[in-house]
Amino acid sequence: MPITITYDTENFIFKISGKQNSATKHKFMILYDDESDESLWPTMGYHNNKLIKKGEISEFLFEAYQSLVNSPTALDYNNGTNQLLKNIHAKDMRDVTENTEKIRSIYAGHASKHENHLGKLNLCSDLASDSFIMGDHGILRKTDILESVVNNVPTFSYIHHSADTLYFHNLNRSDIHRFDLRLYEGDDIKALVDEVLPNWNAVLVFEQNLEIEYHKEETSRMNEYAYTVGHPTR
Amino acid sequence: MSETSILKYVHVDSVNMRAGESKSRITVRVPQGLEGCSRIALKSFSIPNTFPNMINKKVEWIEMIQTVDNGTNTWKTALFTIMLNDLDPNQQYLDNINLQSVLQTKFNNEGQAFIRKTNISADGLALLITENILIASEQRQKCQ
Repeated sequence: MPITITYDTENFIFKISGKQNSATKHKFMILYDDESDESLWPTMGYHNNKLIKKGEISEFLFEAYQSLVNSPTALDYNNGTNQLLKNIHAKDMRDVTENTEKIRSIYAGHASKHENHLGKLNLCSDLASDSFIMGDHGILRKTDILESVVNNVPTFSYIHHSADTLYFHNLNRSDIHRFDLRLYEGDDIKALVDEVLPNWNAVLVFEQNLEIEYHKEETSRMNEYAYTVGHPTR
Repeated sequence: MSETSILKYVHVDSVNMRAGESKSRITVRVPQGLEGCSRIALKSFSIPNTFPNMINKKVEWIEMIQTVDNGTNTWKTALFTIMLNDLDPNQQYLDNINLQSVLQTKFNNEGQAFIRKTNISADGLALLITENILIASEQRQKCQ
């Protein structure tokens, strides 16, 4: 099937459409592989939750769509009472035999962030684990993020993060002989591709608590000396 | 006995990582040790914003065609995959316009790159046949 992809340079929106001149029902949808970081669609502006995922193929396409459209209970499809079909309606599925291009096209939900795809970096360490991050379905989970560094500079310039106010994390051990530092990409805490990762540097601040020993006799001698200096009698 | 807090600054540069380590995960060794530490913070961080956006990327789509076999409607479903790992080294970073151009070339199969077609059975992820096909040549044959 011929597929056309276009990019609107005014609105920064991608559009993909298929076309088939046939009387046969021919459906087209783009797939988001949520089991890997390889799928290009999300950075092109497509919403993950509007794309079908690999794990949904069986349930959505076979159990719901195909079986019901084929069967007399296809009425469920029309009146929208079937929950599975409701769910699949929320996905971007297009009939490529439609004449109107707009109807058979899948538009990206928002502007492409492909050109500056990396919104922030997370610097993590095994030293601290007192941070929390909201994951899928709004569930909070513990992380070891030391700092999130926002990428607010154009591509091919330098990302500099410098903290005037230090945000301390409690250490999970007091004596440190080795520790690791890890860099991850963005909100999803994705691993960065190491082969093309540029060199980076960081300055860490450790707060060290040193014990001070006070000797009663020494303190007394110092006080007496200070008194004689402050109260000269001769 | 009392305590006083002092700050120790540790400068880390990935250039000096141990051979065999990964730049995204480095281990810092402190031979003399940092004793009695309680807290840590990041003072500064620097990295060039030169992250590629086309490494290990792919696009996938699904097509379903309804056919009639012995008077019964059936669907043929296939997953199509284009792996974008055969781009030139100077195409590790693409802007939107060039991305559109590269993808259209792949969809048209002008570069003779394979589009992988995987037929999908009713079991969903059970892959019946995996074959590399030249979509464009098929289209040309259909047109003739």
